[in-house]
Amino acid sequence: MAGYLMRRVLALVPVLCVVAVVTFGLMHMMPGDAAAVMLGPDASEEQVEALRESLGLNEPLIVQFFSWVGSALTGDLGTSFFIGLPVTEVLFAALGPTINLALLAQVLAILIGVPAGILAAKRQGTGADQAVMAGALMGISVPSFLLGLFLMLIFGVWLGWLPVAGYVPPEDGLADALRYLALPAVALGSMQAALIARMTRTAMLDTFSKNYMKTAKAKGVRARVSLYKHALRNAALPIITTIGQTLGTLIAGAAVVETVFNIPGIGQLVVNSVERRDLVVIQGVVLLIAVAYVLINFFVDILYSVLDPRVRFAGGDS
Amino acid sequence: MTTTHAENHDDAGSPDVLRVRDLRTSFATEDGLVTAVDGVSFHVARGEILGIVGESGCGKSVTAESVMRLLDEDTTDYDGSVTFDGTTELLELTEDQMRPYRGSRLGMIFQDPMSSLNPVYTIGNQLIEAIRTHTRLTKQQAADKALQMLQITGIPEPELRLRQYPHQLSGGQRQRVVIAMAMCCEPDLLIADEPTTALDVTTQAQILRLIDDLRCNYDTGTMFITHDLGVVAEICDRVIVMYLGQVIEDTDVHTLFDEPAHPYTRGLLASTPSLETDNSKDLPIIPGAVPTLTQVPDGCRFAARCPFAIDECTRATPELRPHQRPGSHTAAGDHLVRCIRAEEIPDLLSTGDEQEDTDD
Repeated sequence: MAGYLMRRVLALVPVLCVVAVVTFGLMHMMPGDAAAVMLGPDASEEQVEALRESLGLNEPLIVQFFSWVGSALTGDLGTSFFIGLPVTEVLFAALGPTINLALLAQVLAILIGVPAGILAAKRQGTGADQAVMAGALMGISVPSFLLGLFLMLIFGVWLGWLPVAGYVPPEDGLADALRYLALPAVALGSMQAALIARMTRTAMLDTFSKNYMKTAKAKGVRARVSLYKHALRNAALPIITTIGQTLGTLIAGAAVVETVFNIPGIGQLVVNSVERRDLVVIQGVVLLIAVAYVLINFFVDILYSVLDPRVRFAGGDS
Repeated sequence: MTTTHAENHDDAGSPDVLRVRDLRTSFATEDGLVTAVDGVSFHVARGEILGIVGESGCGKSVTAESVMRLLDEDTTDYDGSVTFDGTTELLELTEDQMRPYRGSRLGMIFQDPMSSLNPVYTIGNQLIEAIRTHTRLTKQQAADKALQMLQITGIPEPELRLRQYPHQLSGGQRQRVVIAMAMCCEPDLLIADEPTTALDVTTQAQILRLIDDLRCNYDTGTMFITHDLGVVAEICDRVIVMYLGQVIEDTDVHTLFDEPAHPYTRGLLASTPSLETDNSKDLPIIPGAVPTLTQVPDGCRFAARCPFAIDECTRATPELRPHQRPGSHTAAGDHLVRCIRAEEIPDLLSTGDEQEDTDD
């Protein structure tokens, strides 16, 4: 197990190097001069030159790269020219709401998707199965912003049960925070729930046909034990893969939902930064999301090895 | 456990641990109702190994799974009678009543040891589960019992195996685990569904010896399903031969090899290589293929492939009846055959030139 962990951690290094190069390249892949792009067409020659100097754009590329990586490793991603604040600070301020939103959406999606998928598989071909599958199709088809607007209209405006938009950090009261996050989390998590339900159903049906399920029945194991102990544990691998993979799309989806519900998260930060052509902040966000992706996949890999002994022992240390 | 076994020994009027009468198993499929097992009858005595022989698709596995009631009962229909231990009618039990029999009094070994163990749990976990499902033993007691069962199967390093996962064991080792699992509650009836098919020949011999030992030590009645006549000769006491869902011959193992009565059995034996087989000649084969269950022919189901078939064969389904062969050392009634010409065939073979079942 320890050897496996070490190998997985070492495998992260080249991926993170690629992430660093690409994110750094972002600044230089732009057509024209980055400083000129940031300042817009109205800026004077002197202003552009001053910005070039402060961004270090006049240094040789390789020097720029290493000084950028060096500061990034110490948590310094530069200072936003527009906001006048360090990028790290801006990112962390925006990260909280996004993480809370994405986590709540993910938890809701798992709590709804997994049981629904198990039910559909257990009752394959019946009305319950068809209802779950129809619900999943809707969940996948309806865009989150549309669902968000409907939820806002129904629960916020007509029924008045929940706030229409806005964000309260959990530190200022958990109940309030949940009230504000409920609708955006449902809007964001519905597609997740649908994908998870489908994958759970498929994976469970797949395990039902496996010989070890027949062995379990022949041993006299109760159907319920068989379902949760023998089938679900094996079906968990593809389900967790789906969850891991879609957690990335969840972050992307959060940008849209944050805009609809006016939540000051990463999504809003990206939209605003792009409008301002604030390249330094954009670079920081891209780096953050890329690293988040890599880390999520890393944790999914670790989870595999916990759930499936074949993965754990694959390295040859039996 | 052991006390109830003893009581049943005394009470049981018949020595048979299993009596199957006129078992009919049908599946609802998209092509309509398919009867995979059609009127099968047999019995297994304590300490006896009954071989069930036939080609793929003849219904031997479905017969086994019908006795265990392992098939999906939403789409499966059982008919006939499966009497366990002289008293219990298995087909009439509810699922909750049936469950305690599985794994405790009825043990089953499956064909493919690679896939019949759950890959995500240790061997110990799966053995202990089998034991604790049917007994009130503590985890530690069950673990001791599991270890003891593994030792009986002759697996090397049994303590280590308990902690290992299925993928860390070889095929033969896994089959020993499956056997230990089937035997851990000392079943009265063991159903072995092609237990050696997936194994190499050396391992096969060891597993056969193990099953034979267990039958002697525990007085277990065994249904041994196979398509391998060599295995039958080695281990079985009596044999039923199945063809397309029906029993076509039922006799003791010596009679089966010395005086096969049904043309299909003759064909099977002729197409089995032996040391005396002349290698320069091709092995005789049974022409044609097994018809599908959706197109069961009228009359004798083997007639289309039978070299001795006459018009009468296709008119009515022949009954499974006692074989009467003058000079046979088998008492009438102990050798059953489903062929109207069974008695004539030896004469036909000796008068005609002997190619009759090898050409066309």
